[in-house]
Amino acid sequence: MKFNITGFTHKGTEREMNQDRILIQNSIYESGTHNLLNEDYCFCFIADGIGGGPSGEKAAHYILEQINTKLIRSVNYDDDSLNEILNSINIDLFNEGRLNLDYFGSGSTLVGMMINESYFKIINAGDSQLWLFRNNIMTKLTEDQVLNSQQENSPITSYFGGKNQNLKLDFDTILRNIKVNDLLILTSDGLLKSLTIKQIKSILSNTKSLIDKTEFILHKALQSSAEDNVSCIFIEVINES
Amino acid sequence: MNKDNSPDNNKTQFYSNINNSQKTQIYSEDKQKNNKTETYEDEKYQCTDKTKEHNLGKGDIVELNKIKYTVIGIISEENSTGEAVIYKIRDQKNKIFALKLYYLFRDLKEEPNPEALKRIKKIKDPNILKLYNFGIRKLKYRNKFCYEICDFAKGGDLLSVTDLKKKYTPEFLKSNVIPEIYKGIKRLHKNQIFHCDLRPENVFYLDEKQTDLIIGDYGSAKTFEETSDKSLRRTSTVKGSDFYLPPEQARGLISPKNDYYSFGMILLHLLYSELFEGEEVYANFNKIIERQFTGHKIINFNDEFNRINTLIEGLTLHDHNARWGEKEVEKWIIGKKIKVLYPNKSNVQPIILKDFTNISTVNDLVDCIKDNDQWYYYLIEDSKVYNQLFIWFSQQYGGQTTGIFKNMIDYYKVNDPEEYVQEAILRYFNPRRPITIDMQTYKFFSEENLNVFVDLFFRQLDDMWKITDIEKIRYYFFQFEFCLRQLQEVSINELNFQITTVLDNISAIIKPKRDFSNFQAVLYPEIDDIKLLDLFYAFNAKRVFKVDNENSCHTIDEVGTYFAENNPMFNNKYIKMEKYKFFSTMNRGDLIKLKYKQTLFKIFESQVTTNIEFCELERQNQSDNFLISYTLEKSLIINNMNINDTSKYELKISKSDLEKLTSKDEMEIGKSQLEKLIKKQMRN
Repeated sequence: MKFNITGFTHKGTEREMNQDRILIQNSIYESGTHNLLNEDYCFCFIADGIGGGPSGEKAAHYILEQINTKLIRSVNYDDDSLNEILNSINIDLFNEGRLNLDYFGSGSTLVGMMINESYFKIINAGDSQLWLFRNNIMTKLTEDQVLNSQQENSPITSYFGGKNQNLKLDFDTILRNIKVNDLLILTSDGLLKSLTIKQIKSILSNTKSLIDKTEFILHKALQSSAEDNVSCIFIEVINES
Repeated sequence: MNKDNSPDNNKTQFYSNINNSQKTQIYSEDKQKNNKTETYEDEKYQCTDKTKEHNLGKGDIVELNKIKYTVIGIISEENSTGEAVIYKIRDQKNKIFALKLYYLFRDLKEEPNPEALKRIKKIKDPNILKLYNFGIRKLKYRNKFCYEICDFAKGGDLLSVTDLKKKYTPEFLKSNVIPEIYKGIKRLHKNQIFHCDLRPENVFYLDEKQTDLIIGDYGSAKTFEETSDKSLRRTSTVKGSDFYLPPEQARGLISPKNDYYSFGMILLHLLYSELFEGEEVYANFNKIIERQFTGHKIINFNDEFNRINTLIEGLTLHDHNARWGEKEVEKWIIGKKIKVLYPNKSNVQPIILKDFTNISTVNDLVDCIKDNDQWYYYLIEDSKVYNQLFIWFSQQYGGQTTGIFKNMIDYYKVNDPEEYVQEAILRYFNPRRPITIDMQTYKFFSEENLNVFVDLFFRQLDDMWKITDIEKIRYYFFQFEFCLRQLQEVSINELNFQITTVLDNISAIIKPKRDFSNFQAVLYPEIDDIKLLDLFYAFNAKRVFKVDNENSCHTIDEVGTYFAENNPMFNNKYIKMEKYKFFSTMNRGDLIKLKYKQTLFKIFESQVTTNIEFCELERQNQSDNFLISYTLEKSLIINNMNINDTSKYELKISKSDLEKLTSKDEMEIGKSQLEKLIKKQMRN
């Protein structure tokens, strides 16, 4: 199988800066829409920075930068080794915060997806989400790590940037395997504050290309006043040919 | 009410204790005996000399935690849950105790909870049967059997009375039973212990006059930490007797309300004993469950009992949030009026589907899922309605259960076709839902002899395997797995052991990738033809090479004959698998990779005739090496069928060796010499 990957990150209509960062395959982006078609593997992450001033975006950027260099695309990591690598990134960020004011008090959520021929792994900490659109049904594959999932803006219980006990990485998924025609959607919490699942679903259900759909979702999100930064990565699983 | 929830008259294993008065009578007989002479007692106990498992009988000395006791008699060969023998023992100071000596636990996790027992041992309370000592882990009796030593209850248990109606008058319930059981439960909970298995057989009379009630039998007790913010705990080893078991305990959830539910059911049993007797007992029980689900009063109460009815109603509410607990019972005892809060339809926001179907109750949901062809589209695919489903669910069952329910649906929704989602939901609400395959119905949940039905189930799959799409078989297997896991959660003792064994056997063949939690079955996705065949062998000791549903081959020779007569079948996908499995089972791995004729020649090795013809002799590149070519013709006759194979071979030979073989004048090789040479070569 191959992958069409599209994604965007945008500061939204109300905020002055974008604290979200997205990593698609090998590149980290802080704005704009990016499309990569017919890819052999998938290596996508979204980090949603938290914290005042510039520190949130610094933390988000730092984490993706580290992931980009430290995780090897062709390796099928088990949960323990992933935990070890990501926890070391977390500690580095925490220590950085103690030395460098730019990073002081900063943190970030992380959601990501690594797929190759023989492997798929979901990585989640915080309230960014991964959704699966399969057979016309949207299903959330990650569980929000927040104090009360019923409440809006409930405090996050797991994130990068604190001590290691504050980071509870979740690799669990109910998904058994990835199939052709699956559409995986990584998103920061911002998108779902502007659009409902139903709206997203109705856009994804039409027959336009993934690039068009991605543009349209960003357009719709901004139109319905995106208070928060909005970031999204779409991964479409396609046939080899 | 739909068909599936209709009363089921089949007896289940864990009900069987209920009607079995012999076991419970033992205490009452004992009571009578105490009034008589010692000799009578001796006679009585002579019927069982020694117990099978422990090899213990009257007069034997048992040393428990360094204290010696004499066995005076066997109170019951099997206690009411069938997990132990109860002995009457005497210490050296002539004090009498009851010793509960467990059978061998196959699984450490099944053993009584040491922390709970430790806490119970510390309790000195007139309403809790005094636990003097217990032995688990290293302190087991003979390093094998767990035990508990308790006060000897002279008056037997709640059911050890000649006439329940006469004994359990509303007045007696009010004055003795209710306050004493309540105090006992309260005391246990105060010590952070859930009993989890309160039944009439676990509440005893300490005195012969049968007035002083006391709670005992702590084999299933669980501890909870009050400091933990989760008052509702999920546990993996939940046991309990089905009648007295609250619905959430069947799903592994434990809270203080569990024991109060059992309390309510005990009262129901004592006051309305007619419901718990006779052939209708299971039908009655199913009716109670059905009415609970739909938010009705569990039975038509007799108005005479007025206040006790209200207490029973409050204690047996399906929703554990609305169910009465310590506070309410306390208030009830001092005569206050408290309302029983049935799930009010107006409190629960109904789900309204696109076709205006209105879902308010579980029954509405079940009916919709079963009868509405478009249910999946309306309920699952519509994200707004889908969210509503869980809001609706949480209004009835609370948040934690909703999480489990949602995780279950999400899992099947993501991975499987809609019939899996349908089946999961229906089974969630009705664990007794039978599995039907081509008119054959399996009721694993209510069959006493589980193993027989498991075997039959696999036989049927085996019969249809080769002519049915694997997806369909996987679907049946999913139902089977789901059903057994549900049953495992609620069953106790022997049945639980049987189910665990079945599931372990399957897991050994199909290695699951994750744990079974949130009703997410894990074995069925791994099913394929090869694993199926392994399962058929595992669950049918007599299984051999199966040609079709009528014909099998029992020996390698029979397989050979079959292949000789049915050449094209040799390459059939299923027959190939049969061959592989059968040859491996018969330790004939050497036959597996051979081609058709080779296989036959190998099987009938002794009957094969060979003919060797010399063809040519050639010198190799002017060296001293020669190459002999010859043909080897093998033939075999099986059931008048001729199987021939002629192949050409070459043999390298040195000049000197060749000279030994040939006559001096002509370079001609004799047949017998050539055969010798070939055989020698083959040996090398």
